[in-house]
Amino acid sequence: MSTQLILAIRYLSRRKLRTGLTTMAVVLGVSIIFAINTLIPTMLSALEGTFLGVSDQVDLTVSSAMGETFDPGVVNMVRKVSGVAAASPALRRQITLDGEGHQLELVGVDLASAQSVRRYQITTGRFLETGDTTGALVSEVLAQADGLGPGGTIPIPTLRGTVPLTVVGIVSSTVGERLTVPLATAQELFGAPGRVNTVDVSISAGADRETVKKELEKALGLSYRVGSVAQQTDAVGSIQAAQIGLNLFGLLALFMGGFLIFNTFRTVVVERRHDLGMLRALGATRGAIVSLILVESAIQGAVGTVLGLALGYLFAFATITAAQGMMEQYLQARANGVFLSPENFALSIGLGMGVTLLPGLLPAINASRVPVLAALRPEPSAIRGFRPGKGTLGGAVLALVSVAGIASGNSTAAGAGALLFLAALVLLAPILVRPIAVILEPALRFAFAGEARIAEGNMQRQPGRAAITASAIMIALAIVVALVSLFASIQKTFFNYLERSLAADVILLPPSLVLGTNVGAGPGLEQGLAGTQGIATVATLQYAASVVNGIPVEALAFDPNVYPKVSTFLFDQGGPSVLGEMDASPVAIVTPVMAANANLKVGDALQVQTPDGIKEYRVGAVAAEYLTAKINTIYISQKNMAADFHRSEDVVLLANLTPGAHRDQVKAEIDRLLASYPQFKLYWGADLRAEQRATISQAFIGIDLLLAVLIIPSLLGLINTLAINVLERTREIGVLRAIGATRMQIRKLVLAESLLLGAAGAALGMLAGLALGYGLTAMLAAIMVPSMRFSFPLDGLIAAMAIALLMAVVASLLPARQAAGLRIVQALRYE
Amino acid sequence: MPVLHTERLTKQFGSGSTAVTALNNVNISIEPGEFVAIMGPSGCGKSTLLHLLGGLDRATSGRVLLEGTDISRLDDGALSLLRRRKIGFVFQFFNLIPVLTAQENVALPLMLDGRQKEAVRLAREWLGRVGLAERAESRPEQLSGGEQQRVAIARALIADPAILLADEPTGNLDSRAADDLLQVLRRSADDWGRTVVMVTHDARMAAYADRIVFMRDGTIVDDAPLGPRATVDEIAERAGSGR
Repeated sequence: MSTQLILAIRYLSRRKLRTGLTTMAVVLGVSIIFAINTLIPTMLSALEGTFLGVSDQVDLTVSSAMGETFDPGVVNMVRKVSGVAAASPALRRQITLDGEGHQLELVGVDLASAQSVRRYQITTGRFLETGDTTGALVSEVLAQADGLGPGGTIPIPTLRGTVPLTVVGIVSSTVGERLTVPLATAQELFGAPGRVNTVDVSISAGADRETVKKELEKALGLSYRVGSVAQQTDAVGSIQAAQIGLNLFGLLALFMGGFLIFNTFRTVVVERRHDLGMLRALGATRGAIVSLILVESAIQGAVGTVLGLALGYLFAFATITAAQGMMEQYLQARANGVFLSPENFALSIGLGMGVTLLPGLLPAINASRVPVLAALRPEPSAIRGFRPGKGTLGGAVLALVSVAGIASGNSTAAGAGALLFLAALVLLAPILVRPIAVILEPALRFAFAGEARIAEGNMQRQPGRAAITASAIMIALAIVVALVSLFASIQKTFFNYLERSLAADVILLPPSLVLGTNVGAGPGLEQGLAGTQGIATVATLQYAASVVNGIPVEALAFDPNVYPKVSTFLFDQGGPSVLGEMDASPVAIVTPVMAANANLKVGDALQVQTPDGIKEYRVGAVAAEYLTAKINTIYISQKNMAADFHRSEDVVLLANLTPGAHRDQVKAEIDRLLASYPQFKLYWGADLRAEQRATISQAFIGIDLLLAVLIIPSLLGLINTLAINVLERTREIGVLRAIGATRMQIRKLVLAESLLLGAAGAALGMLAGLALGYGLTAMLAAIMVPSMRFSFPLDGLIAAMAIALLMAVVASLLPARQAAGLRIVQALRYE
Repeated sequence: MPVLHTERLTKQFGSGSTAVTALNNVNISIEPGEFVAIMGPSGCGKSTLLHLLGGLDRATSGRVLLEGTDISRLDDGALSLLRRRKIGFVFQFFNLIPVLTAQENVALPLMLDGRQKEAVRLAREWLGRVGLAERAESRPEQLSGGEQQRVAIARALIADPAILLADEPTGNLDSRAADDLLQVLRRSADDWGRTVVMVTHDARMAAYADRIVFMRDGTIVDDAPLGPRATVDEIAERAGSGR
């Protein structure tokens, strides 16, 4: 074993607590990153399985790139591709059976060719035959769940109300709840005569799947997708957005971990000055000293990464196991084991090791520069005044540039400025710590008469180290304050949308707000609702998936003459006059998210993909309402939807009550109506708004919990600094005890110093957090919602100060005990 | 040829009006196998001289020649190598690495030199020579001050250095432990043929040397061999007259 390795292991095991705490920070970050990047791909792959309707017997599936229906003639093109043995068209959809969100997949298959691409193993009854217009095959899972057998019936919600299907046979299947019906039946139920949305392909024996896939892609062009059905853009989009967001948390946790390691090794270098000097005197080169420190950080990185991977895996596994039931019920998705990719391993290991080695490097280089003689002198820590150097100058320049950026009004400059401001504060911290300590000392003197002065002096004695600790606290709190302010701004904006745009009294929605995954309703439901006593105006929204200017979007359609009566658009560009143009010409309203993503403004052309090819629309306004506030959406008129997308199915129905209408009566009538349309659920507007408010607030509570995770590394850093301070001043503490200081006074001294450090960190953190929050809000407003405004996070600031002081108290417990427990004679002898 | 030789060695700390001259044109030659004690009052420059001789610090002007090599011209890496192979140090404080056992501490210079194989064998051998064979696995905090310093001497000698430099090695020891230690240093010169240079302010310890160099205000004021029957009082008197 090399000398460095022996020394590193010995030093690490000598300070078990510190080693444990530092390693824990790495474990925390790595486990978050690894868990998220295991969990989300696993869920995505489970969802993809659902959309694909995969069974082990289908080799490939062709679908339209936008998830819409197409002409079955495509099958002939597919069959001509070399390597394709058989192809069969199908029309498949998720349908919601009831208001509880119970879903199943309904597949219409071409009876002539279905069995050439998929093996149907009938356990009871028979396969479908021509003339089975209302006959269905049920999967074993569904049959068992609902106690179905041949001859039994199952009511299926369709566009024109519930239609009963008769079970003709039960098919053994590995996938969940599925109904198989003749293609013509499915086309009729879903109002898509002569259309299909998938082609199942089986490939010739000996042909390579990947080669056939590439050949198919070449033959069919960009309008089609081979391999899996086009994913429902917003469901997958939400999950991917969550992945990015959660990864950001993981990265922040790791960043804090890196800061902690930096802090630890800086203190290590101070603590081991004598040892390092001795090693140099014995002939260790500078390189040997650098590698000694790096080996130590590498060991912690490796142990932390391995533990982090294990913990992350366990967390992902537990979450998937726990969520399995819910996923099966609501999404018809089943995770087939935990998805572990080499990329995830590489990312987690790379970050885990990187975050330990990089922060270790600077202290390692500093350690190698410890002058041999200085290290061998008995008094290492004389009062060192801080002399501003290049770092301070750089910090000052950076601060000026960042303030200019934040004040510029440009969103990108504001965002960049906010981050630079944080960096500037880190550089300026050593000179800021001193005045902050002086300002805070009088306040502290109330509680700690004599100790406050000594604590303040100690902090000034090592402004560099105090600054590092204060910076670590600052970054954690800045993130807290910034995110609290950002989330408050988002929340406010959503509430605004909620109150103003989701204003209808009665709302009929599918149980899942993810549009397009459910069967909607034909005109019957709208007419029924309009005929209900007590209902005034009824408006509907229709849905189609599309691709606009290369971006997957949802296209929503409404009647411009009626819709404004039940819902209000919040306009960012253009105004309500656009509604008058939408029926007569191809004019669309795009959401601000969409406008930002596709860089659109009023008057721009939109290349909208429809089942008949590209149609050109024009942007008439940029506006959103609550349901579409965060989604890429275009709104068109129902007239254009029918002409271009051949769709007329209603997915959302909104209505207002007549003045004086009796709610109970209205409810009873609507419930009767919905008996035929179980895919819809009745919400009272006010209740839905309250429910959505609660959901949003709950989501933010979850985020607050995640924020708490970020606090842990800085807490560890504070403990570390205090512990090293105690160690370094052992003799001084001995002197204090010798001249009559009680153990309690020594404890209070350490606590006072901890409070000073915590308060200094909080002061800097609040300042940085405000800047960061402002910059992030400005950036997000530019990307998503221009109407979003910075919200001053008073609660965040109070929370930050409270967290900092609490952290200070917690962090001081152990070092205070250590200091108070020193034996006087030994402390006086300590060199 | 002297093993160690200095020419007009000068060291100043600080600059301008606050400059302090710690060593002023010091010329000294030390022959192989000699045991030299350097004495003088606090601040006379004796430790500074030792640090320059050992390559721990750089001279403001002048030269230090170790076995004919001008060490003042060496870069940091070469100087590290020189300390590892040619010079052994014993200090008053912080002599041992606390996380290593006695044997590992002794083996350290060879380990740093990549000579792992012989390191363990030689470390045991040297621990035996300083009378600590049975304490090989003890950690520094488990050893007495005198034992710690003997471990330090074993470590200083393991790489077979040209010269052993000791800076107040008995400063922290009681008189009995100090005598034991000096006997080991004496044997280093007599039995193991090493050149020893020791800084001390204790006349009783200096009495073990072959030659005493007296310093004052950064210069050598007296440099003479000790007669075989020189007494502590005579040394103290010489130190006094030098003052």
